[in-house]
Amino acid sequence: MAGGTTPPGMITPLRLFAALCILAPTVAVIAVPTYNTATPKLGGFPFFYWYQLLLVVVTGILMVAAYWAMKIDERRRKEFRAAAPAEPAGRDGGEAGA
Amino acid sequence: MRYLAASTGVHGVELGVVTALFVLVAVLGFLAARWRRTGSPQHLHEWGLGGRSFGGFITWFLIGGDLYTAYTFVAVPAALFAGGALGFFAVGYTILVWPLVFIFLPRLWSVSRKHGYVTPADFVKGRHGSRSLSLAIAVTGIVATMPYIALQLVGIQSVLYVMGIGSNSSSFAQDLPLFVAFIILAAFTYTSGLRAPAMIAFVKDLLIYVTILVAVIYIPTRLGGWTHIFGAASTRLAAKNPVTHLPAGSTLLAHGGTLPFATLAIGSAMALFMYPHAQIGVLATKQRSTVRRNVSALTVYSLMLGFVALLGYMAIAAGFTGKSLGGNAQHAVPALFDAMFPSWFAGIALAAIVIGALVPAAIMSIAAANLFTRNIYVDFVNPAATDSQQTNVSKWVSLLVKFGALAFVLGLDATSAINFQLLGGVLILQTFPAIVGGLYTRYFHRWALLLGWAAGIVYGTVVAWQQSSATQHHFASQVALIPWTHQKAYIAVTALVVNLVVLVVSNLVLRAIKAPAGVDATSPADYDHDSDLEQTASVTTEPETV
Repeated sequence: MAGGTTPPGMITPLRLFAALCILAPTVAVIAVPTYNTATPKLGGFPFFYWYQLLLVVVTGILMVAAYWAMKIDERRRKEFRAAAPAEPAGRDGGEAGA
Repeated sequence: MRYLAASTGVHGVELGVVTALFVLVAVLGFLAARWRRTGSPQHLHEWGLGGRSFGGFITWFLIGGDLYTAYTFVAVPAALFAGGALGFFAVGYTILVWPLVFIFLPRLWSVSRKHGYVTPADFVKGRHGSRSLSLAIAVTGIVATMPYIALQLVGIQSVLYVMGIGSNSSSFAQDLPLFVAFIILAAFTYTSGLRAPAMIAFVKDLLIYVTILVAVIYIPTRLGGWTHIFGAASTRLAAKNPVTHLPAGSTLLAHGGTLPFATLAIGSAMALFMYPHAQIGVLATKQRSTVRRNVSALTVYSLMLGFVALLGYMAIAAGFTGKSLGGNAQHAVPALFDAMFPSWFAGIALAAIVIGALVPAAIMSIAAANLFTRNIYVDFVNPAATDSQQTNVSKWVSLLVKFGALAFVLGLDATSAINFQLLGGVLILQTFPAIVGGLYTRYFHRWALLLGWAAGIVYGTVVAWQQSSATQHHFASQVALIPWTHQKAYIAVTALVVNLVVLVVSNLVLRAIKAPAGVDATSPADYDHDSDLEQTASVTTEPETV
């Protein structure tokens, strides 16, 4: 689907994916009643505690995923701009990957 | 009990280790002045933002320094020690922070880089074209940051107390070590600016990670495992207070406790990056992508914070009570380290807390000083100030701010510092609409933003003041009843709702009567703008935007 002739819109699958990665931990934390229980226990930890600690790790992984999704999305936009130099002054995006 | 010999005489080995590590860090702080220098030292971009040159690695340590203060190390476990599960909101809060950072801080970075903004109030002035709104943001930032610095001192004080020197009282001789530590901190911040805390942050984090790893593995084995720790905490927290006939708390949230928990987490997360010291770490980075790339790695701090919080339950399981800690739950973690570790390692752990205080205290005083210089001094006193004059003013104000905080701690008691810090969280959240809203839209009129801010500040301050308990007449709680309901929530969040309602209503009125909108100095492209090599090199010669 890359390199098409239509310009990337406001919403792309990649951006949607990044948004989901960001939204998921937020919703999980706010839904307090879903994890305010003692069981199932893990290694002596009540659920309330180990679940939140696990959520921290999951959030870290989701943030990596969101970062890469946004990065690929931005690169595609840049490629499209380079392929169709309609704009008077093409902005140089810099050496982000270094 | 044998654990309870917390304050009998000076603990020589611990004191020796702490002093040695402190000296090491002080030397690093002064050496930092020469580190990675790119331009004239007499420029606020240099002193106040480390030349805007920090890459991912340093940024990780620097932002971690904001999140992980001596106060977090002391107060979060103290909250669990005294009140149970509600204190664990700190973990949810540090989870919620990262998605927020991911979304809006790259935009703030871009627009600040493009226009040379040093403080959040600079941005607000440029975006909304309003000096009064910018002044409101700057004053809020300074007022909220001051008690935060004071609390870093409270963290150091509790370490000194456990080592057998210093006290809760305010006799000069006993506070002398604190005084000396602070003079050294003030001196190296003055000479090295933001580079000092950036460099010290390496040592600080190394010590903190070693301490926490050892603590969460070693202490539970000595206390009979996690099952026993949670069991002991649960039993103790359920015991009824003889005065109030109510249990202190529970290891799970009680009925009606979920909304306070959720709002505390959300409100604190939204507030964190409104603090000028938290933004400084982001504005000092070299590239836009550094911020997002760092977010995932920064969650390591959140995980550690979760384990730090559980030290509060370990202190319960170790047999400490409020009474055995001299009536101050803040001493729980230092006293636990002192009782559990061999004295040389206890020294390292206590040094981690002390050095953990220096990094954020330095960043905070720089942030407050930048706010004063850019948004009060330049805007209202001396609009023609040169770069060199601005840097000098900032340096002096950073000293003033720190000694103000010291006077605060020595003059008042620690409880007042904590109260003001809680109030600070309520106040700083009221700048959210002007800053974050401004990053996305100019729909809101500058005067409406100012009115909303004022309404939120007044409501939040009054409600926080009214909270009383058996031991405290004012500021006794962070949560209060939402008006016309029986449900409690974090005061900062309720105040933000008041803020937003006033904002929306007054905005409609102001637009209807066509009140003059301010001039927007930014353009839409500025918010996605990325650094390129040319701009990074020319940062120090970038013209000031007035």
